[in-house]
Amino acid sequence: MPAAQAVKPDAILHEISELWNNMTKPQPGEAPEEYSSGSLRACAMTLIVFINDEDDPRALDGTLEAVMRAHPNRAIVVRLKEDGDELESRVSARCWMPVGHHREVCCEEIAITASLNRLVDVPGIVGPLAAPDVPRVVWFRSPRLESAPDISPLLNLTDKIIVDSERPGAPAFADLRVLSQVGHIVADLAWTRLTKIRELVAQLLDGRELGAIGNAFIDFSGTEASPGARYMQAWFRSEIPGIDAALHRIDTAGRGEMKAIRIDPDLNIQLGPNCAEYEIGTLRQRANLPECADCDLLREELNIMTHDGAFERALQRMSVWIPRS
Amino acid sequence: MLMSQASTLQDLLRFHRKTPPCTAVIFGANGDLTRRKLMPALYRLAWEGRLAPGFAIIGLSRTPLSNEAFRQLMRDSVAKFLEDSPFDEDLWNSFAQGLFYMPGDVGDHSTFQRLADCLREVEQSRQTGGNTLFYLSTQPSQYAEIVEGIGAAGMAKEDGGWKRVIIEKPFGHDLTSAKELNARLQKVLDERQIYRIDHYLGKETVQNILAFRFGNGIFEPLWNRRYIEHVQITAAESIGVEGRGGYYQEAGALRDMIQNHLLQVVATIAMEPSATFSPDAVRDERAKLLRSIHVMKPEEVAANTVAGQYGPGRVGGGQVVGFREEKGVRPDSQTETYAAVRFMIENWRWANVPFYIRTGKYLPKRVTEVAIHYRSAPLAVFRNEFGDNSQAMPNLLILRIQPEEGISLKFVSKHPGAGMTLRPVSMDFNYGSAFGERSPSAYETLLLDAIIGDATLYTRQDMVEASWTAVQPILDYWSTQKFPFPNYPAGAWGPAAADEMLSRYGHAWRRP
Ligand SMILES: NC(=O)c1ccc[n+]([C@@H]2O[C@H](COP(=O)([O-])OP(=O)(O)OC[C@H]3O[C@@H](n4cnc5c(N)ncnc54)[C@H](OP(=O)(O)O)[C@@H]3O)[C@@H](O)[C@H]2O)c1
Repeated sequence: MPAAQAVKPDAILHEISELWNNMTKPQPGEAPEEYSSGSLRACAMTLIVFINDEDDPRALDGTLEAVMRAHPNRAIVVRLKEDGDELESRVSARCWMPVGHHREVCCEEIAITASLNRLVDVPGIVGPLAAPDVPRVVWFRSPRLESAPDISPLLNLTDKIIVDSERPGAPAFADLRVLSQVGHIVADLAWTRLTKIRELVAQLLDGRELGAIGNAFIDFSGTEASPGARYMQAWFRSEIPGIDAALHRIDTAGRGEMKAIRIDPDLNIQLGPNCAEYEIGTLRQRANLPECADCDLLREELNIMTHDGAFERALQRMSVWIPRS
Repeated sequence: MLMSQASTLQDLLRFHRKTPPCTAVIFGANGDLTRRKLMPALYRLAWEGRLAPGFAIIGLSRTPLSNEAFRQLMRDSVAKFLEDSPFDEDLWNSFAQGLFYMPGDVGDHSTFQRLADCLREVEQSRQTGGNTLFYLSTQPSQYAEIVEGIGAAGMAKEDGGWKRVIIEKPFGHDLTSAKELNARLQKVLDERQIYRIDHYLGKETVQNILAFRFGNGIFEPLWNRRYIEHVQITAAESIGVEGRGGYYQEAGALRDMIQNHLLQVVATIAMEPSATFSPDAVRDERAKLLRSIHVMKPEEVAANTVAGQYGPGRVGGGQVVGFREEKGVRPDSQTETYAAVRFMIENWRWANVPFYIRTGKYLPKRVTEVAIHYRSAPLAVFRNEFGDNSQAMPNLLILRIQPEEGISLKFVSKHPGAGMTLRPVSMDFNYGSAFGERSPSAYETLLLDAIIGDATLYTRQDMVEASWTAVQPILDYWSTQKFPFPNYPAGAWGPAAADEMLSRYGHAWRRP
């Protein structure tokens, strides 16, 4: 097993400068013209991602690349290993040519591999590497952080913390609530997945006296309701005064996902793959609800760098935590 | 007053602005614009869930068609012209339930009475609450007649829901005809019900410029005659009239680009900060600016304007014909395909700062930009000591609009190494829209804005008339001239007279 090396932030920053110097050197014969073909270095935030070392790197690459196009960022990807004594870093750039443009856009990426016993060193490395004066966001995707003795130094590095309670190893609602209560901006991608459905419900109930709505049922399939279904229930409870919002199991076949939303007296939304069929009064229509990939959800969250009132109110209403396995 | 509880479910951080239910009535529903642009845009809005349930469309034109035949025609057009989005048959079927057609001639009064009846039926069955958006997608000569028909049948009255009318450009062909059109429209409609399309500057761009100017503390103090020497606005097209020679011959570059679009750019660049960011507050300031443009006296026009017309030339490695050889164009046409104008703005902020505007067909590249030329540093310290004159290069701030929206700041820096030589460098910023996200088509944005009641992208009567007032003396003077056309070859940066005009004032056109 190789001995753990020291990873020095200054050396990594130097490597990044070198990388840019090489990339922006004019090619032989190329004039340093105004609309030259050189690369445009773009950075609007630092995105720190914790993943398991063995996770499929291509899936994450695709997500990061898609996110960068909307939110150019310095990505710091920390790959956590269960065992060993390892701490390494590597610097690279991701470039793409926007459609119809003649100048490529590039963002830098720093990959750090750390074994769990070296997690303690990570904040001291990631902190100085974050780009100055722009927001820092951390996306916790590695369940290994659960076993970390103290992750508060990591939390203090960032302006926003993103988790996904639909993934194994996510923190409990109560933990998110604590983070939110002590002032952190938190997000849960299980909530982000609901945006389109919530928007449809809001549109369909537009103009109604909300206080007059008595009951809502959220039908789900599975032994326990998914975090998404629970968030929907919590949202109704927090936003519609006096509503009786109930989770209703229709069968045990699924993984707890929502199948329908029924709201008194005449709104019935049936959720299918990528769409919803709804009936309201005499109207019967279809709405498009495309499934969101991680990159879509992250893009939405990275647009929001303030406290999200609706989410925080719903979070306060969340009780039961049934971890995904 | 009790606050309505209806808005409680709105999540302003995440949801789009909500759209009220309404019926859109399209005049000219069998035409090119409806098939290519309007219907695909409306379908796409439905695909994105941006339309309220029950949203309905009534198409009207002379050709007899049943509802079913109209739906089929529109289905085929949407499937054909839908850009960068999938066509979903199930969603279309749901959308098409709200599509209706009524044959009728707008020259016949009874058409409007029948339309009013049809509208009432659709409102009831689709629960649209009486909100109605009329879209005039017919020839401009029919605009006033249609609006009068709407008024006579009682469809403009806002006694149950709002009524709005969208009008395509052009709004008149000179100041007199624009005033005449406005007067006829306003006999029937309140100005706030009229939505005149002028979307050259997409909303994003207008908002980006305003955000740049008024959201940053450091630029606005430098945004005046004390620091700015002059401003250049270029809207260059690398193509010719592309088969629209007949239409273009009646318009020309001044009417087609400067009167409407480029004066809107000037207004956005030079307006005073508005008290709020509401569409009307911003439009008030833009209108005020347009009214401050110096109206040239006839004797001032020759020295401050240049007309050009392209002749044959080489473009993109191929030979192209001159404007007078284009189909539908008279061989002695006096229509300008290039125009350059030096406008002056008569207010305290901009007194004596020229705004040079140029636009043309078959210029070397497609580019739209605003270049703010700052005054030079007051003392050329480096030239004295090191024999370098780079300091004579003033700072330039470029607001790039097309093809890549962004901002560049040019300044000088020291060349690395020994010696004190300076070189110009550029600091660039590209807007998010350049990063590959799908941006909605202009018609999606326009239709949605009109349904929501956001008039930022639409121009008002006072703006239209103020900009006609600014260009009318030029139109009048040019109509008396016999220009030695063609005076620039296709593929060049316009006629030599345009360079001479600037050099007379001690300036030179930037090569974008
Ligand atoms: N096409 C574009 O891409 C485009 C772009 C920007 C602006 N515009 C403007 O949009 C407007 C429409 O353009 P367009 O290209 O769609 O024109 P178009 O193809 O000529 O369509 C006009 C439509 O109006 C209908 N019509 C004509 N006379 C009528 C009457 N007396 N009563 C009722 N309907 C009548 C015609 O259908 P019937 O024969 O069935 O009556 C035709 O479908 C014009 O003002 C144009 O300047 C068009």
